[in-house]
Amino acid sequence: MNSNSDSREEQLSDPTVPLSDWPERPQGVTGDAAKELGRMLLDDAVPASAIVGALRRGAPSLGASGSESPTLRFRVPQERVVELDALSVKLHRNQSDLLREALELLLETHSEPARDSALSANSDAQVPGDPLRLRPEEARLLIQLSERIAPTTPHPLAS
Amino acid sequence: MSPIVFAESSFKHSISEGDQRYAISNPVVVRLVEPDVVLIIGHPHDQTEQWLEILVRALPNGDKKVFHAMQLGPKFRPFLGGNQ
Repeated sequence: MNSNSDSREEQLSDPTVPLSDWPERPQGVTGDAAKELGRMLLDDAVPASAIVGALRRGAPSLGASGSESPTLRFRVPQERVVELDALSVKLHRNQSDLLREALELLLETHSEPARDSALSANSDAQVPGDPLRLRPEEARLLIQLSERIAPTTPHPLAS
Repeated sequence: MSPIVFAESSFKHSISEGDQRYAISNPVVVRLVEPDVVLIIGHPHDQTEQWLEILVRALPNGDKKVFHAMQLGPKFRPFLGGNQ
């Protein structure tokens, strides 16, 4: 090892020495791609040049815009991880894929159009002519009550 | 063969080889900080919120030389971004 390399390593290791300016410094890699690179680093069969090459190319973007794909990290109960492991094996899909799909479903469920659609479906189920816009089970209960009070007078909602 | 080698300097901050290997095999961020130097940010084990910064030089003969490992400091923390 020459002294020039040693000096660069010392500068990089020193928290008080700022990093050199490198405008083309590639974006970092996260998530499964980062783990794959970690595996490659520890694999004696993979030369260092292959890792540097992969990092220069960067991880493929997951978004339509081609922008950087952030990583989410959160804690979950151990039993959920076990269930996710099992589902991953059963479906032959990696966990990141499954969690991305779960996130898509969650966001779809709570999106404005989905909520509007649910409200619309609910209004279709309401009894026609019901000025109170009751749900069917509420209308039925009201009819039963009104029939007990005035059994001879048919309730308008009963028609 | 292109083994990973842990230089004496990687133990300067008392980070064991086992903790360094764990962080390398479970990295949260991997990126080039220089054309031949890879930065790895990860936990030393799965029971801690502590972060390590590890620097690995890609040697011309294909070997990977770990020459620095310490608790993540302000120099490299910005590279962690929103991954913490």
